[in-house]
Amino acid sequence: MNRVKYVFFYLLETILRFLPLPQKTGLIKIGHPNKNSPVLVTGNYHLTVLKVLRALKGQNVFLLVANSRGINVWCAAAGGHFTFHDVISALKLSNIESLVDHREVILPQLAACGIEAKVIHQRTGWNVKWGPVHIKDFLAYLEIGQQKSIDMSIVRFPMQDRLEMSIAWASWMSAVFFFVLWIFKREAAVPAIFVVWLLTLFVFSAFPVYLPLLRPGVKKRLIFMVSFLFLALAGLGIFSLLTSHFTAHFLLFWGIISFITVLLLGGDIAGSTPFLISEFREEKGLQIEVDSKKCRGDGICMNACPLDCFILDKQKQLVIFERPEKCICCGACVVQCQFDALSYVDYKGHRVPPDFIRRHKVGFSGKWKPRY
Amino acid sequence: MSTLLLMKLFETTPNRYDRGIRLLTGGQLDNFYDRVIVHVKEGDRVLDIGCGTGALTLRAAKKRAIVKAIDINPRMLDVARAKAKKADFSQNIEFVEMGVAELGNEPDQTYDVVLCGLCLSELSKKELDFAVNEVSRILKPKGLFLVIDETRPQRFLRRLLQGFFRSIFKLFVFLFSGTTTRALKNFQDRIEKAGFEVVSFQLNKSQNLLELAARKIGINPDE
Ligand SMILES: C[S@@+](CC[C@H](N)C(=O)[O-])C[C@H]1O[C@@H](n2cnc3c(N)ncnc32)[C@H](O)[C@@H]1O
Ligand code: SF4
Ligand code: SF4
Repeated sequence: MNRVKYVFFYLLETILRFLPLPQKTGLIKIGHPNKNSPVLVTGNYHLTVLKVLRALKGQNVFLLVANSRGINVWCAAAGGHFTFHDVISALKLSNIESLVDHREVILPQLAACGIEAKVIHQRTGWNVKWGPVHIKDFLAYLEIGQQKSIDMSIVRFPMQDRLEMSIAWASWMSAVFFFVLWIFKREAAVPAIFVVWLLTLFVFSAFPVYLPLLRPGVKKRLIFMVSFLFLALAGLGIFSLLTSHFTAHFLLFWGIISFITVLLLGGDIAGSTPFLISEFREEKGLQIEVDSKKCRGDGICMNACPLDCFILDKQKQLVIFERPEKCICCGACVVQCQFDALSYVDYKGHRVPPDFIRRHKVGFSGKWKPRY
Repeated sequence: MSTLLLMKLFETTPNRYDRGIRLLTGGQLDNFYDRVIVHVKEGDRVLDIGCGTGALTLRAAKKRAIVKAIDINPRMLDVARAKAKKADFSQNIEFVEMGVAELGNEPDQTYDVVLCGLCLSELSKKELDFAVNEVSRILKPKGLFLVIDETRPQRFLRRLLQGFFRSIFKLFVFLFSGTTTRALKNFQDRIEKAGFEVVSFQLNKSQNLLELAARKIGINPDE
């Protein structure tokens, strides 16, 4: 029964991925946790909680579901909908403080762009540890003594996630096509669904193939759309030849449908991935700057960065922004640095101070809804 | 005024919040605020919970009360601070970015008046219970709790009607902001249980906005 329920919600919420779906906040005991068991916080996006519960089956953990407005942890934190207030509220209004002897709380790493660990510590005495990015790594994380390997700190975009993305996109696109065509060209309504799903699945599963082309500086959208349109048209051509539908009208009509689909998907393909920066983000082009006078080399920023942009110079006790090309301007490092050693600098050389980012968040503004 | 729910949308853009609210309530809310603030006296120590852009904070400060105004939204606080500066009351107001969950840090019997405008309906059930109990704790004996908030109409038909409109708005607001509010239910009973005595109680015409003044009498059932 539980499995059936999971599959049901999993499918439903994957389709409705772009909508907020809240679940009740509060403390959930997983297994038989005791006074020394780990305390984990997550957001109250329904699907997130389901996934976390599933991944933690058989463990003894306290799970605190905090109010992230029904949005997944990353988008909520980046958009200012999931802040230290929500974590403090979860800590203070559950009776967790009487249930455990320690004061260590594990937060999902992707929440680091919006939740200030330092403030939580100052106001409640709880120490924040950033857990792994992907909940699947959580058991391994516990096993090695709540330590994170580099792998666990990096966002990935595995096949399963890409399929989920395809389902989310194809669902609403095909619904729109269906309705419009049902009114104007009824016989094309059902085939349009096929075309949209096929193209979307294709675009997302072929991702690793064209990923190298999406480097910064390249006209991503253009390359992406031209090549996919080309492929779609080739597919159409072959199909029409095989089925002897080869008329100009047929090609034109389905060519337009494919074009719209590719336009919708490809208008911001980078924004649909967790590790490329969306074309529509205002923060695009901001660069991290390390103030070597302030940095103490504690590595907090490295622990928060989901793209492994920093390296530590152990001798100088200094962090170096080694891989700027990978940075997606998520803001996590800037928000977390306790000594305000990091800030953004825009292309004109203006510095965006850390406190401004803590206040206003440098967010994904909800364009890409990653999972946790 | 089931449309009050729409304020959640304005909260996402604090600069437009004041104008938005005025539009939604046709100034009705201002009348409520003006009336409820009568209970605040010069020199009172006042706490404004969920002060937002400072509608109640400024009114209290204008009466020369000493106000601590708290909110979890730093951008709302920015607007409130700017307004206070302009109005020249800033020396009597302390703005703090903190939430209801941190009321536990306020000492016992500190305030003469606690204000709460349109904030209780934004809290989770747990937070609401916690807030009511904490307010009772931090108020001085005979201190006042002044609340203006959305409520459920008492008469059945009205409730049905409002329930209907509200659910439409709810969906709309939810889709755009991912949030919603919960109109207060049986609020009088609730605060009486927490050791308050209701001194005045008024509803607007459509029975969905309440204004309530309650005095702490301290017969806390737990004691
Ligand atoms: C609708 S506004 C009302 C603002 C103001 N009192 C007024 O009447 O104009 C509600 C405010 O409550 C704040 N709020 C919501 N939850 C809160 C919490 N848990 N603690 C403190 N403030 C909160 C929101 O940030 C928002 O600014
Ligand atoms: S930049 Fe800040 S967070 Fe990173 S190592 Fe230096 S002091 Fe620590
Ligand atoms: S370096 Fe870039 S990607 Fe890494 S945490 Fe900082 S802003 Fe995010």
